[in-house]
Amino acid sequence: MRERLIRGALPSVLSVAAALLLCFAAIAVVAASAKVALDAYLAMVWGGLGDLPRFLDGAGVAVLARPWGEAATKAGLLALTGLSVAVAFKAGLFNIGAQGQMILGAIAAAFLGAQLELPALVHPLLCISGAAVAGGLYGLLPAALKLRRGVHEVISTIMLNWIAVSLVENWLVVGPLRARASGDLSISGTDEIAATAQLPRLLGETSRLHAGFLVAVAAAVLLHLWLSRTRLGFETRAVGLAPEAARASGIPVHGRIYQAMALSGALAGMAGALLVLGTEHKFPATIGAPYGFDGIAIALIGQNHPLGVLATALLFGALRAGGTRMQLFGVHKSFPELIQGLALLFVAGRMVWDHLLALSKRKRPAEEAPRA
Amino acid sequence: MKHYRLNILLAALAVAGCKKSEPAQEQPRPAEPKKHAVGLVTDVGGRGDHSFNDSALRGLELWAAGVAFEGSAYKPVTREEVRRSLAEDVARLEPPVEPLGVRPLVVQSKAQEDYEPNLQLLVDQGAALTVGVGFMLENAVEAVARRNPGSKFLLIDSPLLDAKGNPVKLPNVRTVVFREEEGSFLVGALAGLVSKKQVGFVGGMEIPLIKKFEAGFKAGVKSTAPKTAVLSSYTGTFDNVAAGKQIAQDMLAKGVDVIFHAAGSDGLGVIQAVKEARSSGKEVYGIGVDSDQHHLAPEAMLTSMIKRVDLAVYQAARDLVEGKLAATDVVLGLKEGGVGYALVRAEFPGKAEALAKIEELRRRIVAGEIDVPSNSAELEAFQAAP
Amino acid sequence: MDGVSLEIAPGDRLALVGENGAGKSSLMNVLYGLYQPDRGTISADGRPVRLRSPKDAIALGIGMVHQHFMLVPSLTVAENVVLGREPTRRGLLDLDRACAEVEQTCRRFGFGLEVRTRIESLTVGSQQKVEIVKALHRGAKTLILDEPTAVLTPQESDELFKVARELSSAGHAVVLISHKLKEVLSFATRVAVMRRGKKVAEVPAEKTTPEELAALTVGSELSRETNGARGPKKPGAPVLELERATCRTADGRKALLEVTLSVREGEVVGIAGVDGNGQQELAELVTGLRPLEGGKLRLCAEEVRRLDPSLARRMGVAHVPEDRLLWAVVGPMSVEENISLGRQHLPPFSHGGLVDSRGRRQRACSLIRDFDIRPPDPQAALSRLSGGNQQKVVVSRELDCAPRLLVVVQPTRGLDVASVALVHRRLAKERERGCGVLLVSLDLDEVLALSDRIYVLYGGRVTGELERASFDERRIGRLMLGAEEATFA
Repeated sequence: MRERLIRGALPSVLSVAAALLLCFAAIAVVAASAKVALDAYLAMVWGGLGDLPRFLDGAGVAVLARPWGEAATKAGLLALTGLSVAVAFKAGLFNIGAQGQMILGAIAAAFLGAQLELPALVHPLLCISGAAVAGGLYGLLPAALKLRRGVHEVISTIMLNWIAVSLVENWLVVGPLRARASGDLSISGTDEIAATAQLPRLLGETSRLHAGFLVAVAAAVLLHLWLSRTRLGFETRAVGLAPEAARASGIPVHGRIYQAMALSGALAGMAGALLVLGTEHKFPATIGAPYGFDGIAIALIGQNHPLGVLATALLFGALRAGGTRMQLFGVHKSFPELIQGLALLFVAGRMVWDHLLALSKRKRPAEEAPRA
Repeated sequence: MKHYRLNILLAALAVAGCKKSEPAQEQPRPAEPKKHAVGLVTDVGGRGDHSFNDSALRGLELWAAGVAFEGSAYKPVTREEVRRSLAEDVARLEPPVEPLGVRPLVVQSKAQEDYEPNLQLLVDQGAALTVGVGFMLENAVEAVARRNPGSKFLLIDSPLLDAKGNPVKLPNVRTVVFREEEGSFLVGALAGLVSKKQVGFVGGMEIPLIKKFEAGFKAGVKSTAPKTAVLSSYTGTFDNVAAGKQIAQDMLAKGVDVIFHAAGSDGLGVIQAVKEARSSGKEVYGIGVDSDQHHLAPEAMLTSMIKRVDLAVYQAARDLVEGKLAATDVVLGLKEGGVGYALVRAEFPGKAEALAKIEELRRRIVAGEIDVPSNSAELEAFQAAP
Repeated sequence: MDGVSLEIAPGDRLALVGENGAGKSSLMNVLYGLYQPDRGTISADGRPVRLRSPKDAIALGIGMVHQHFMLVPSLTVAENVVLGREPTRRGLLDLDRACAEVEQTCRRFGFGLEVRTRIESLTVGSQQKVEIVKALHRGAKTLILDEPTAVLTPQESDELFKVARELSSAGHAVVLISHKLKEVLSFATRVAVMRRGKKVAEVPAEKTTPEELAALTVGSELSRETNGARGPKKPGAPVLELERATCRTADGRKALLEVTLSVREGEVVGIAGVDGNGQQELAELVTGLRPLEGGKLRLCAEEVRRLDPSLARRMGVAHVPEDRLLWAVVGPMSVEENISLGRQHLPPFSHGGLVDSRGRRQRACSLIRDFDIRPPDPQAALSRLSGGNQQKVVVSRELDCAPRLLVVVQPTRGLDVASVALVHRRLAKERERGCGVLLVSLDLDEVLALSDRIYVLYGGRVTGELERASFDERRIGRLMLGAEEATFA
């Protein structure tokens, strides 16, 4: 078990480490100073995990809580979109559409949050459910296109992303759902959601960290249990790994694919809900940050394992929350994304490598020598 | 105009309040106690938009701090260099614009939801004043200002508003909004005089703020060339250069010969398209926005609608240093020198008369003789008038 | 593999026999540059060489024809043969030259292949020829054939060996890896026997017998059970009836034409035929993988209009398909997960939607014991098992369902002697239990040995039905080739 864990995680850990080293070198070269790079990295660490030096200086617990509150807030979003991509992967589909599904989820949450009057607790739950349904339905579209018309999901989900942006950001948010209060004021986005719909903050006023993080953690754990312990999860994995064998065993392959894509879309939709209910409290003019696309990286680096995805999301959440501080050392704002991108590249490179290895192994006949 | 209190209303009690009233655990640790740290959070457009954000950065970095950001670090610049960067009208101001010796802390935002932690980060880093550049930071500035009553904030381009859209006030937040329609009116009037066919307007997000530019611009065109048609179009973003270029190329193909943009980074695409059309021999002009964008395409730029975000930032920093930063809602128009148009360097027939006409219009607006429309309803009324 | 020495001379016809996992393929993979030896050396023409990859091996004139063909189905014969070393003109693929060159190679070695046909429209026998041509085209002097006849008809096998003999008399060395002792002895001049990674014997072919070889490979006096103890035929009610059944292949050609046949309780019905004459589709039809287009299908006397795999399983149909990697197993999953496949929704594998890992483990362990699956680890990834053991996983699982109709296709392909005997014993046991068995095999010996009745398929039609009493290998061979239309009894 332990050995399997190490073997599974090691390539990702190495990839992330290599990415960190490479970026360190890049910063050092650009700034012509290793000290700047070191300072920037330290700032990133303190900014992601809590500002320990200042805490020791007696600056109070807020300097610890705020960084990891931000890290966890980001990690929650990344985890949900990562899980979204991962669960589709498990069923053998490459869902590039988490971004679009997230946008649909966000607008659903913003609408329900602003339009309904419900007691606290019930309200955010209903908004999250609504977002999950919206994202899930949107996730079903590429599945239907694939199974009925043979459209490859990579193509359809990319296009559906654009449709989601056009539909939501270029029409709903500036049209029918535009904030009623805006008038001649410079208010962008939709109406603010009711106070009852806001996700409760976990650390009070100190940090924005909200209950959505717990939703993401719960989603990862539940998804892990679903995949490993339930019949449906087992069947879904079988469909993803060997669709023909799954069909021959009597598993309703189409049903499982629909289900996985609905789940994938729902998870991405929930990410959108977290963004709206947790921090923005409305659908902003645009969801600029590509969390849906980040999800692809998070899923791959996390080896498509729900808990691996969660761990990766926590890491990159911290990296990005802390990475902002690198700007104070003159480091370009894109370095946190660069680290993530490079890590993905290394992980993907390893997959290509593995694939080549597997091909050469397949050349070996079925027999193998007894293991020494 | 009654909001104009920038140098008039002095609130002495705000002096260095952050150090006294803040609870001990929230107290920032100033790295250099003598030097005021001034933070600035850009919107998603970020550094290098040659427009709105860069204007704010100029006010803080070049003017207030006397440094320039080169490569990846700040380099000090001489007083003389600072002076040379000032436009004519700014250089005439009293007291003069000169470095204040503040320490700039700049963070660029990558996403909407990062505004709040970024502002908080700069407060935690010891910024006595933190500037939120852009109306999109309104919620974030409000939240962080409430959480950190000992720190000062400057919000550009929007008043503080509650969920219903009603203005609210906080004792530690100054807000600045501009009468963009007035500056736009003047460049529109100039466009009307220069254009031989049609003029175009490219906006970023289709929001009331940008509609002000459009309304003023259209009214300006009407005032000098009532028969000239104005095409207008929106990219829907502020950070998509390609979208701006595409829309501009579209307009140029339809026979537009002067294009005004109010689209942040998208505008760089607009200027690019105009520049390319110009080098292929077409007699077309672009009009920049926020900063003087002449240097982006020296041949093709007619002028730029100037919005003195730099000045607003600089003045807030100076008030901070002088201990008189008050929580006011400032409105800057032509009269206050907050908007205007850049030096017209392009040569065209009848330039002298045209500029005289524009100056005449400016005088009439400042005097209140012309009420420049700031939204589509007012624009309709304006156009309906003889 | 441990301390094995082997010498191959030009013109040699060497056979390598041994159980699954005895190390035959590993030995050959060392020779082909896929594995590196930990100790010891390889010499070519007296000089020691290092084979770092198949490229080095090919450069030395070693060619390998794998059990699983390495061909691209959508490309033509010529394209497949030149793949990796395509002739080019100004950087572009020169197809005409490729075709000409490949045609020349075919003519030189006497292969009648149409080089412009696509691989996917060729029979398995022809595909294998393409593999051989590919090796020869690259200048192979030593040809390694890994279980080449596992998929061939007797006629095709005869032809293959004829070609191989000609190659050897032209100075090529041919190494044959096979479980079929009869063909080994008829083809090879020398036989090397592997057991547990060691070479236990190397004997001239004329000085040994199939019994001796069998004993050497398994290390005891166990020989292939062909016609073991079988009770008299006592068939009961029909479990499968096809009436003028028609269906198509995946690419829309007619695969089965008005096929009428039946399988009854307690009998083994064999389907004989040259590969590609509809047996595959027949198996897929009755297991619900392929839709019926015309005619009637009855399972246990109940007419089924739309059969799908799930319904088939519910009605008691079990399936051991030919291509287990495609149809039967999920390689990256564990042995126990694969054992639950098909019954994952039933006890003991799950309860109320939750996987019952304890029940699953127990059942997997008992099957691993019964079928001697190695390694005996229910958590091992299935893809890490040898082909024979993978097949045992599939067979054990399908038999464990206690089916009423068992459809088995090539159940012993690639299995060693002991495993073949085990599978055959278990099939006989199912028959005794009252299960109807539909056996599709390209190994005519197997069909003859196990069946109570045989249908011969040719061109998607049943060309003959024979009762056990009237089995006649030569006659079946003629029926398989469509040379004789039998009169139905």
